[in-house]
Amino acid sequence: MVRVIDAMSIRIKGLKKKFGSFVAVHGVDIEVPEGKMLVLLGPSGCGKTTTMRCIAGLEAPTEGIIELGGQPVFDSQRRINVPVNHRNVGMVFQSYAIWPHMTVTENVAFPLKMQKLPTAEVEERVAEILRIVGLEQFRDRGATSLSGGQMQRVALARSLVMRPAVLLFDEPLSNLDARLRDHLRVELRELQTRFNITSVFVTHDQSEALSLADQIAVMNTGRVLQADDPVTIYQNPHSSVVADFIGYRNIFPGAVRQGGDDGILFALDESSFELTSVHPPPPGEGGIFACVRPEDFEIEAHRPDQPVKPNTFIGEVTSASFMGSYTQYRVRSTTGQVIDVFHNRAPLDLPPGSPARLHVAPKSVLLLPMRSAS
Amino acid sequence: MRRATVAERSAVPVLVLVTLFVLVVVPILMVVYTAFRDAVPFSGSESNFTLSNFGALFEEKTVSAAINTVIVTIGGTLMATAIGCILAWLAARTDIPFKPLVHVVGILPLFISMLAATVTWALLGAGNSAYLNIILADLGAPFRIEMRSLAGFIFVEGLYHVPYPFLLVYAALSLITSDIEEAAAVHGANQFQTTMKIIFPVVLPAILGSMILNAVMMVENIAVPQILGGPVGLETLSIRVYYLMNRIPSSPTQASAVALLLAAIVFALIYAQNFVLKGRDYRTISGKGAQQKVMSLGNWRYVAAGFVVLYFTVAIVLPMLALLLGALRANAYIANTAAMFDVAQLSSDRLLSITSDSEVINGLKNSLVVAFVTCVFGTGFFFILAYIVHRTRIPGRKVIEYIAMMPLAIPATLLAMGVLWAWIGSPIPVYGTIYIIILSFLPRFMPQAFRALSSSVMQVHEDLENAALLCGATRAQTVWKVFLPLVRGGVVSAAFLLFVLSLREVGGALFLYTTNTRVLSIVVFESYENGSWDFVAGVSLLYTVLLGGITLLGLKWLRPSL
Repeated sequence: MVRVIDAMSIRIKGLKKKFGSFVAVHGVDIEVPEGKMLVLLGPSGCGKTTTMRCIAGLEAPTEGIIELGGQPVFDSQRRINVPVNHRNVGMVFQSYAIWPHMTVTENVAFPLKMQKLPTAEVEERVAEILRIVGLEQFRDRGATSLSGGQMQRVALARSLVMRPAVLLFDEPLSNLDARLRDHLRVELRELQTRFNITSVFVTHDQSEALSLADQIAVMNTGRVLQADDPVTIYQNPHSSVVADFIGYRNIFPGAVRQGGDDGILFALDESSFELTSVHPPPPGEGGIFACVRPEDFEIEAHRPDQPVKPNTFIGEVTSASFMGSYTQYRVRSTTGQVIDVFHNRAPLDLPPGSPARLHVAPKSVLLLPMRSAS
Repeated sequence: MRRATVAERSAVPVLVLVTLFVLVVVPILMVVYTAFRDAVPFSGSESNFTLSNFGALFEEKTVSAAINTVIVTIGGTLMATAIGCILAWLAARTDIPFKPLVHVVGILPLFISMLAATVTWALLGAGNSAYLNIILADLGAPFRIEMRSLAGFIFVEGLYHVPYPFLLVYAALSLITSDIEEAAAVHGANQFQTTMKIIFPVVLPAILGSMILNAVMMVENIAVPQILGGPVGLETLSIRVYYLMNRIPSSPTQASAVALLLAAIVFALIYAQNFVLKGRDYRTISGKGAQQKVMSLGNWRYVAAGFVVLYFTVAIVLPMLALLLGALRANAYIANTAAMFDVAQLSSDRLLSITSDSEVINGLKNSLVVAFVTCVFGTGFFFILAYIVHRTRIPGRKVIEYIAMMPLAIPATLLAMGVLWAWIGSPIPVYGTIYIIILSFLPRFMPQAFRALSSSVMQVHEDLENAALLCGATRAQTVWKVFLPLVRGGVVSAAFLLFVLSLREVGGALFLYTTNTRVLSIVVFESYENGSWDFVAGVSLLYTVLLGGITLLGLKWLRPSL
């Protein structure tokens, strides 16, 4: 049956890539253990795609070492640079990159023909992989007559069939519509674990990153800001920049007022408002930010005659959007902050213009530096 | 798992750069150098530095030729642009009857050689014995047409350069989606305001671009001043260069100086284009030729159709009739209109004798060989150039692109002179063979073919090739199995373009042929000088049928390059 691929680890040390005077990647260190999926998350231009293209061999790094399964495929000092077609790396592109002049079968058989395998084996392996990705009835179709989702399956089959050492995904789902994207994401993760393929996945979508990854590396301006498993990175981001990528919509600059037994008092800039947090503030100099996830606020109607608990903003609802499983409110506080809130329970009677109060528990307020000290 | 050595990686680009240098840069340098010498270099006689050649620029004949060049270019460009824009708008945006035929009419003149077209207008309107003037006399009209004048130059240039503005403006118009027009309507503009404020600004770059393109071609045109201007001594700069080269004794060094003036005018035009078009490229406005709204012309449809028929008649029908008549007449003298159409005076003897004329057959053979070799070598070499420039990171690719586009600014006469001097003294004996003509045609058509190939190379997404490399294919396998099949249409189209351009070319073959190596266009060009009009008309007819036939056969492949 399905052969599990001999997974190879990926190790990247001191990777640097310059385009002219522009430094796209600034010394990146990454390790991906056998069979695991690493997601590179970051905004466009952060160097995530360049890093991946360096692993594939489509870009020659300026400096650094890349090892696949313990073997160097690139080493700037030892002048090793294995050409892309000898690396046995699979890649699924955002543009699908399906060859329009070939049928589905021809597309998928291509890597095996390049390996000069006997026809019988090529046919057997192509048929098997097309069955796995659910495309056997399309085998003789021209590849361009397929839908976007089907084309991306062809691309996936084409990469899987070669039994690659590692598999790279370059935002493969971003050209698909939302429902198909969810569907294919689950399927993709299933196949990746089933075949036990070491993978690198590039995306700018945090929910995609959280759901797919064994490890997430958040990148910005050519550097890895933090690399951790999804739960750790979600609960414990090291900096406000990482928190921002991972879904902390509410980030307020400010300064520590005083430390005490019941927590840290944190004053927000440009207002008199104070938040209490149980988390210790980061050491060192530089700006500090209070970061709160939108689902950690409790929202309710504000009545002036009722007492106000500490850690509660008072303000006015400016928009309310019912999203199905939750309702998204935007509130402008009397102290000047714009706050996003996801309310997970039944929608409240809070149309725009209504007064509202927002409470956050001190344990949900993270005090983070803009960038982590490391 | 070794890295390619520096020598291996740079071998191809170095070879390509050297070839480009020899094909393009050396001929140009030869002309520039000669303009500052008192004798042609490498010709055996000793040469010294001098500035005296530039005295030729201030001779009365050169000054008036320069003025004529400017007048003809401006007049012809305005005429061609006006007709081309109207046709393009009618074909793209109105409900004119027989719309596809309007498109055919718009591009048809492209397949008629300027040389043959000029011959027909000499037959139709040069002097009192020309066909149209005989008819005018019999009708009792108080005026006569005179093509041997600046107005005649402008008329012929303007008439046959219509396809360029037509094609560019048509393409621009069909790229505009109805969305942006509808948006203008939604925001309160009426049809006229939408046209003036949205459509016109968006197609303006195409209009300006085609004007410059036409102006460059008119500046360097040599057929019109030779055939219409020759008998009355009316000169433009390009023909002035030709006369300086061909008179006895010839003045090649002065010709070089005048050619540089010609090049300076062309250069100024191209500079103006870059200046005018800067930041005005709206091509990205839409991906596909989406649904388009069509403007209803009402009864004006018939006026519009009449305009198209009129243009078709004047540009194609009349000239073809004239060519037939000229080739079939037994006697060149025509007394009146009745005699003109007197079947008894027609004879196919002369035409048949032309088809067995050794000069004509030899010219035809040479033309086909030159066109074929130019097409094969050109397509291969220019494809490599386009691939290197757009698909690799090889250092020097910008230089390659720059040199490949350079001949756009080089007048045909200058290039032909440069090629002559570059190869006449070389140890490789190409002078006197048809290969020297190919060495001139290759750089001459390099920009057009390079551009056509570049656009098909760029249409293939880079990921398609990367995917093949990742699948284990070598670079050569990738090009062969993935890249070439995807660009095949564009490559065939560019090859065909090269073939047709080579068959049509006159200017690039000047000075380079000998008695035995004349191509068909040169046979027409020269036979005019020898005088017999029935022969000129016959050969022109043959030439037109040949070009028209080949173009018709290949129209399906040629389309993408148009």
